[in-house]
Amino acid sequence: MNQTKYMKMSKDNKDKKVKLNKDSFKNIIRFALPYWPWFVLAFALIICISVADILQPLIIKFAIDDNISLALVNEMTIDEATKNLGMLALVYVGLALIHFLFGFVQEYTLQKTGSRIIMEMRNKMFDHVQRLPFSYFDKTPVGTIVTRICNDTSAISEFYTGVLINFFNDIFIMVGILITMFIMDVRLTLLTIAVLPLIAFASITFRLKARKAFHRIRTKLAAINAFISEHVSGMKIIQAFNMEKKKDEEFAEINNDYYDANMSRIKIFGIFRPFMDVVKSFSLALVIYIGAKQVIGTSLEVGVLYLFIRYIGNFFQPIMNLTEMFNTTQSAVVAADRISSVFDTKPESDHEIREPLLTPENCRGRIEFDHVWFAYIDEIWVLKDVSFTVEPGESIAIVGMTGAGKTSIINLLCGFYEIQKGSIRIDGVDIKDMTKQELRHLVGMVRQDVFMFSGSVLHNITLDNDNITLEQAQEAAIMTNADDFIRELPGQYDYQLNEGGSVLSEGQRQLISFARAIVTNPKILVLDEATSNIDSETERLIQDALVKLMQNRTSISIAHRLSTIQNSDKIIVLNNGRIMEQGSHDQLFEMRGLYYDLYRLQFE
Amino acid sequence: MNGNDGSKMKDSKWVRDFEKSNDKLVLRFLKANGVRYLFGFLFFAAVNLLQVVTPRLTGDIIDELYKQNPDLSLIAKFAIVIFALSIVIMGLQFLGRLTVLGAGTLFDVLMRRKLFRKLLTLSMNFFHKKSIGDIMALSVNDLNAVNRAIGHGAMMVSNTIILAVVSIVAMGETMSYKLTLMIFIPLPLLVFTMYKFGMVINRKFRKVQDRFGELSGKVQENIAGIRVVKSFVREESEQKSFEKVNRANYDAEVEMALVNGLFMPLISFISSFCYLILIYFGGRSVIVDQSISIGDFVAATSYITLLIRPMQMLGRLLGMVQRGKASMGRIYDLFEEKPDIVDHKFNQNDVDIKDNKLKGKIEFKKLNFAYNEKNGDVLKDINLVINPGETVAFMGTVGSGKSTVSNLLIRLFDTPERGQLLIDDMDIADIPLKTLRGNIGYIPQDNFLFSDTIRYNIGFSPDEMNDEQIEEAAKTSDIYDTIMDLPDQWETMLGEKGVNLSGGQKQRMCIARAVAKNAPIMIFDDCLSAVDMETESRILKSLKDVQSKRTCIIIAHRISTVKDSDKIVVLHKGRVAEVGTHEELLEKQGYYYKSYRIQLLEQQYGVGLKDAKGEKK
Ligand SMILES: Nc1ncnc2c1ncn2[C@@H]1O[C@H](COP(=O)(O)OP(=O)(O)OP(=O)(O)O)[C@@H](O)[C@H]1O
Ligand SMILES: Nc1ncnc2c1ncn2[C@@H]1O[C@H](COP(=O)(O)OP(=O)(O)OP(=O)(O)O)[C@@H](O)[C@H]1O
Ligand SMILES: [Mg+2]
Repeated sequence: MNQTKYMKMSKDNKDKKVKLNKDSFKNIIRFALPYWPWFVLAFALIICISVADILQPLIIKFAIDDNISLALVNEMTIDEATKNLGMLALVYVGLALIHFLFGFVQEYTLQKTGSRIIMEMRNKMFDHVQRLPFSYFDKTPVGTIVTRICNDTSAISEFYTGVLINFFNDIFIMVGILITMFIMDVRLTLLTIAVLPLIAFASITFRLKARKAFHRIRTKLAAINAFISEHVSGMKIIQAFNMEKKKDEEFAEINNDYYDANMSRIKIFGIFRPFMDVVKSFSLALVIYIGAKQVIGTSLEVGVLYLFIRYIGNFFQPIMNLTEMFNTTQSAVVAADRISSVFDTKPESDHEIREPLLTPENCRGRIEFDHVWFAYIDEIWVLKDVSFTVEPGESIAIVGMTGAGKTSIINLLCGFYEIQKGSIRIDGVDIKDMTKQELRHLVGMVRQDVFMFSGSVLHNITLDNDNITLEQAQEAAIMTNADDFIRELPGQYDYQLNEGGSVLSEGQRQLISFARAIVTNPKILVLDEATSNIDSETERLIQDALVKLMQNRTSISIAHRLSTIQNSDKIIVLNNGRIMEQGSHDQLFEMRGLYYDLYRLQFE
Repeated sequence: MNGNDGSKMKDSKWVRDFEKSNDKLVLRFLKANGVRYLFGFLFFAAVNLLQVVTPRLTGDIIDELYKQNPDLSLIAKFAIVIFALSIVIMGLQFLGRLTVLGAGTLFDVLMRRKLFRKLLTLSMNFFHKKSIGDIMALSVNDLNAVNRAIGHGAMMVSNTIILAVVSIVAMGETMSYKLTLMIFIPLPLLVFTMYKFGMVINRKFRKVQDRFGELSGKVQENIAGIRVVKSFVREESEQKSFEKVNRANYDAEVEMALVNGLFMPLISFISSFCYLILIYFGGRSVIVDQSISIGDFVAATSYITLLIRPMQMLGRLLGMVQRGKASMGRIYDLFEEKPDIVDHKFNQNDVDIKDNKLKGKIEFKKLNFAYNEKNGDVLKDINLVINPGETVAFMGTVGSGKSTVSNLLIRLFDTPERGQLLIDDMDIADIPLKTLRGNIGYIPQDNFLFSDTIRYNIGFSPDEMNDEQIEEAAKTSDIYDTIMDLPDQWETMLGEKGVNLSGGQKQRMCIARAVAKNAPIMIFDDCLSAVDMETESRILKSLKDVQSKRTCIIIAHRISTVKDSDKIVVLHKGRVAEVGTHEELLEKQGYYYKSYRIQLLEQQYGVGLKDAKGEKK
């Protein structure tokens, strides 16, 4: 039986108690705060509308009692009555018009403000996510992050449009009715509100259950998105391996979980809301019985009891409304909790804005690794006591068996992960003292895992950097030999790529990502197997072009092919996270050590 | 998790029918669930009827109290009935919600599964044009809107109908013909408004959903490429372009808000014309010609109130349905996509493949291929025969068409009518897709792994694989030791696309995955590019065994990888430029020879025999 990650995730959730961050709700409100005038406006409009609504029946009463009835018994002339009726009809429509206009403005304001808040929230979140460290993205599926930014925020929007204002409105009404009731009869009122603890108790119980259900829903939703995101990008492999059926079943499992979660929500609210009706009826029955007893005992007028019976209906109406909102509120709170968990993830450590210590202009490009220890997880050391220096303008190569830790060195140099021990310095400045942006501006890199964005070829070279002109991009493309094939594409530099760039060949993608790195004219150039998918002839052309390019910059290249490293001033041989040998090619070759073993094999 | 509720629903016949069909899905669903909806409707009808009883009872109680000697025990009974009634209502409402809202959720879950199934059948051409984020939006956001229409909407339908019936019946009893007519005058206007607005809502909502799809596409892509974004310090421009998409989504939402904001208040407003007419003309009729009695007039006012409620509900319902429709339209767009790569059923009988096992003969006959017309031919006039058990290597410059060859062999793309690609002397399109792909062990150039355990990733096959097979494959591809060094070994969870592995580890994992399949045809698409020389030679050695029994296609740039192949094919701009063995090609002094020289020089430089740099210039 295959236990997929998603199933495991769902298991964990069953056991886990739903604990919400206390600040989630505060976060919802915090985002709304700057827009308080709009909410106040909407609130004021709602009150106006309510007043208009109360007035409308009065007009009809007026028409009947003060006009039609009077006219019928000839206490008023027919002409006068019709004139009045015409007036009243117009006033009525006038009120309706007010209702219409105010209603429109209110609804529009609320929805617009809601959308606006969500937009701001998404912007903030996106910005925050941009600053999270690699380790976060290593363990969080893409689809989950998309769910957080796009879907979870939507879930809150209804809270702003449907709940926030109405909540106050309903509380307002409730208190109003309560006061009226108290004035009329204290005992009966007390009797009516005797059920309040029951309501409170039910709300609390249901709140917990509802939260749990919503929590499950949101988790499953994220799982669905993560699954789809991952499997659509890997569709080629699924199809090539005939795994459609199995994947379909895996998806069905998550999908069914989502269904179950939704059903449990429906069940919970299917009980909760009607339950409030029961409470209301209970209160009604109680008031009727006790009230009737008092009426019979003549300590109460029937009229008062009658009014009370009606008031109970009015009193419970806002409570019913509030329970309606409960659904939305709980959903919003849980979504906010998910969102808060993103905001609570610490971004890459950054310093306050100040003059950069090093700029691409004043940086000389001396790199120092000083007894660096590093592990991705816990204490499983990937780099052990790594020390080396690269002088300005020098080019070094890092070689070693796969998994030796070469890419990790590069990751550290760019500050993508935090080291546990030791220090890394550029021009004597510890990279911990630099902002990440500052640091990364110094380094241009070709990553081993090539990624293309949807958009034009040009966009993929410049990455939307306005400082780079088309000529510069072309120059870089020529240097990496990408220009040749780009010229053959329909639209050339405007040729549209899809996400991931799979309309190009792997080698072509690599050439573009190579051009992307050198077009920024970095002080330190890092090439992580930049030509692994390139044929020897093209590679050689690139190498020749690079010789010129590397002249006054520091460069680090990682490669398995000698061709890429032969021009290096120094070669570092890494094995199992430790530096075994360091020196020039000839020196290392003389040593007949690891390096010799690695390269002796090329033609055997 | 086997006993989950969702899966139980899946066994009935209509579900199977539903899963097969591609059009009129909502209708089909409603039809198949007619009984369910009927019950839901009955539940709600009962609730509505019962809810009328309570006010009657309280009325009776008050009447009783006005009597000379009110009977307290009777009142107590009434009170108990009121309470009991509410419990019955609660039960009915619960059932109603469960049936009707549950139906919406059921539709949602069935549709999502259909959607994913559909995706599984679509070919690469589709995925090249559709953004992943948009697909995600379809499966969650759009289905949600449809779910609402079909669940909440249905709940409202029953309430609306019941309310309307109640008010019309009540009206029919007492209302004069003239009054009824008066009240109904604004009705056509109302219907017209709703109809018009319905269309606008549909259009605007579709735009909102489209924009949301773009938004989620933008986020999806940004996160997928976050490592590049960060490396190049492009956070700011990404943020800007995100904010643009976000803004566009907001703008669409505001447009929608405008329509929403107008719609419901407008309905109320138009309804108020009923009162206008009633007060003025009705009132005049009462006093001038007295054709309407004052009692009727009073009754009419309350009937209008009764009538307006269902009208407003109808409006809200309409909005919901139009939204659902708009979203459904987006989903249908996906369902309308025709998978290009399918089994040609009519040919199926002609081919007879024993045990679904291919022998592994591959033949290219005057094959031409273009991904699309605009880009021109990528493969041109390829003629080549690969016999079972042979190892053939493909070399060539970047973009010369090597991967295209492998794409065609696993039929990710079709080769319509422009030359032939034969496998075991059958046209590739005549071989059932499952058989074809089941007989090919494919190692892609872009090593893709799933975020699951290592065991799952290597044993990635529709048939259960036992542990020995998986271990064997891991050993062949020299990843066994690496796995054993991991704390969780086979159960180690990989990140998405295997992010927590090094490049070489990923590649070897992909090799293991293909090797474990034990297929007669193997395709290695540049799959040793990220491993070092030593590992490469080890893998090649252990693969020798694998190769000897199978047809192997090896795509590579390194001479060391290809030199022992039975045949080496050099592609140049989609044409076969050179074919032959290592020795033959060296004699030809063409591309192969040149690559050999370059790599040999490197090696010689490495060994220190000659100054390669001097030679190069
Ligand atoms: N994000 C990560 N999380 C956890 N472990 C990782 C991560 N990235 C790499 N590793 C592990 O760290 C070790 C070193 O990986 P690294 O990518 O530095 O190797 P490499 O020398 O570049 O190998 P290759 O030549 O195959 O690219 C490997 O064992 C790998 O599995
Ligand atoms: N899906 C596609 N749509 C359009 N053109 C494509 C598509 N895939 C590849 N191409 C184009 O077809 C040509 C051949 O691509 P292919 O992937 O076969 O090259 P390759 O020989 O494998 O190159 P490499 O050594 O870089 O992997 C390239 O010019 C590429 O741009
Ligand atoms: Mg290729």
